[in-house]
Amino acid sequence: MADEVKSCLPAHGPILRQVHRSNIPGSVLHPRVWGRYFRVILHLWKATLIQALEYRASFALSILANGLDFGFGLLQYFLFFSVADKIAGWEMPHMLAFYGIFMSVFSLHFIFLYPNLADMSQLVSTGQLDLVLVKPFPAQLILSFKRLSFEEFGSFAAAQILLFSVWWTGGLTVTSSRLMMFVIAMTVSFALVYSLFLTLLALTISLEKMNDSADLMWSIFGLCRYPVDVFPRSIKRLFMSLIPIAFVTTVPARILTGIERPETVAAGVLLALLFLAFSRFCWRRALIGYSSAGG
Amino acid sequence: MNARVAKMVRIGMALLSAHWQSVLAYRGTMLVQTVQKIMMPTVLLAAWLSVARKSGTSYEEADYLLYFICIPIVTSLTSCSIMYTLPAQIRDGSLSRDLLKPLHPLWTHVFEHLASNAIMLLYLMPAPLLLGLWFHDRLPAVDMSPRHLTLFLGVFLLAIILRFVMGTLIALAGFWIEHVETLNLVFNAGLWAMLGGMIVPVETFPPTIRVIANALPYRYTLSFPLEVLRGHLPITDLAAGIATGISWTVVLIFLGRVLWLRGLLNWSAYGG
Repeated sequence: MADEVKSCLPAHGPILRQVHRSNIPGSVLHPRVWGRYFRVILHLWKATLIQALEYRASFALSILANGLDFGFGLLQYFLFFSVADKIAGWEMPHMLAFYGIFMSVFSLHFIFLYPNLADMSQLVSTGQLDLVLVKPFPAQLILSFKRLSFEEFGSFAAAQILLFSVWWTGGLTVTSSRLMMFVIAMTVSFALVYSLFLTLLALTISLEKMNDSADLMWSIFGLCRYPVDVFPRSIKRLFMSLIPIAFVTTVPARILTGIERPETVAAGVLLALLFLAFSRFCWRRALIGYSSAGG
Repeated sequence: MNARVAKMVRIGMALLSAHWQSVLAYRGTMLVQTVQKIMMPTVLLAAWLSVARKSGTSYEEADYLLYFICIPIVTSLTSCSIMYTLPAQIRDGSLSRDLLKPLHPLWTHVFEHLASNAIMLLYLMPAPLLLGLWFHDRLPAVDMSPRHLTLFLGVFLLAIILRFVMGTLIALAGFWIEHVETLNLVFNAGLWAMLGGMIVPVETFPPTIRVIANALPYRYTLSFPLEVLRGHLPITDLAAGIATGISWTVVLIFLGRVLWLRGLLNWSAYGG
């Protein structure tokens, strides 16, 4: 074990010789410890909420702006359908369901991941990452979830209301098998988003000067705003495999509209596992190569 | 008078050179911004090529192709960052330093805007050029006569000035409120994308929404130059569009001047 630890640590980063064992690749923690970690994360979220409520007017305005942004996004589709009957075979109710799913995934990414990715570059450049790594806490967990962005909760709620209203007005037919497939597809979607997030987190550590990883992730979401069916066949195939954009929003929406096969969901599960493994590999390599601010 | 102009040009060139060097130091940021600017129009272009259009709309597939291929060029030259930089200067007090210089502080932002947009255009151009080459046989014929090109460039210049003035007004709100990001998100991003023609050309809006879009300034910063480039606007609509765009620019510049003077009176930096 000692040799393994030694081989993981950089040659010139003495502070990292005190790195916590949860941050050493290959170490496994007792499951009961995770409960304690979860409580710590809850405390951090509480602190973020208190901080956000310090500037109440700004907080309220941000929620209002995000609500308007949701409305603008919705109006975009109405404008689109004012001159078109279908978008790549998708009719209006199905596109609204698609938008509901897009906003659910996008807002959850914004609530949980975006503020942490936006902070990462500063943590690396100021050397504060050293302090995180020596804490008796898994660095991946704390760096992924230490802060929340509460402003986007309104968008998430609005997306759920939109999905419910499309179903209520008969735009969607939900059966138990479809619902089960949908839950699996959404899990795949979140897993893929998280794997991209973790890869960017690792890249920020490795490249040191990557200030725009959060904006880059935001840009990639632009590709998920419309179904992959709008793209030419070759690009669509790419988005269903090597760059699995389709599994983030299109596949869950196609399941709800009843036009997706179970085999595609199974392929999505496989891809999500592969991408999670790849992002974890990148994360471990980034930590091994990290030489602290003065390194 | 000539000496004053020459001095202004010298200062401008010095500021441009300084900002170019500063912008070039952030090459990674520029690349990410390029991806951001190209992504949405490309997705929309793909979406428009896949739609089943209703009959009776004035835009054909070729028109949408031209529109969405050119959108990144318009957005790259019209976008500005004064909504972030000026409020930061107001907050941290560094505006005081600029107020002591023998040049209006807003000129620094103008030249920063020109420098960063020129570099951004260099980053961005390969994408529209490649798309243009890819779809060259499906693009509509554009009138390349000097008269039409001059008209297009004039309207484009108006779009650049108007968008900068709109951004400056939001930035000037920083004298009274701490964070202007929310204002920017609503008035300069959401409404702009909706009513400016980011999603659909304003010419194809339903009549009621088109009336609203024609009356507000957003159309003249994005959709209008591209409508002029397409060359199908009736002369009355063209004249009305230019008149509305110029009117908004004049009114907003006047409003900006009032806000600037009132803001300076109201403002006190650290230690003030």
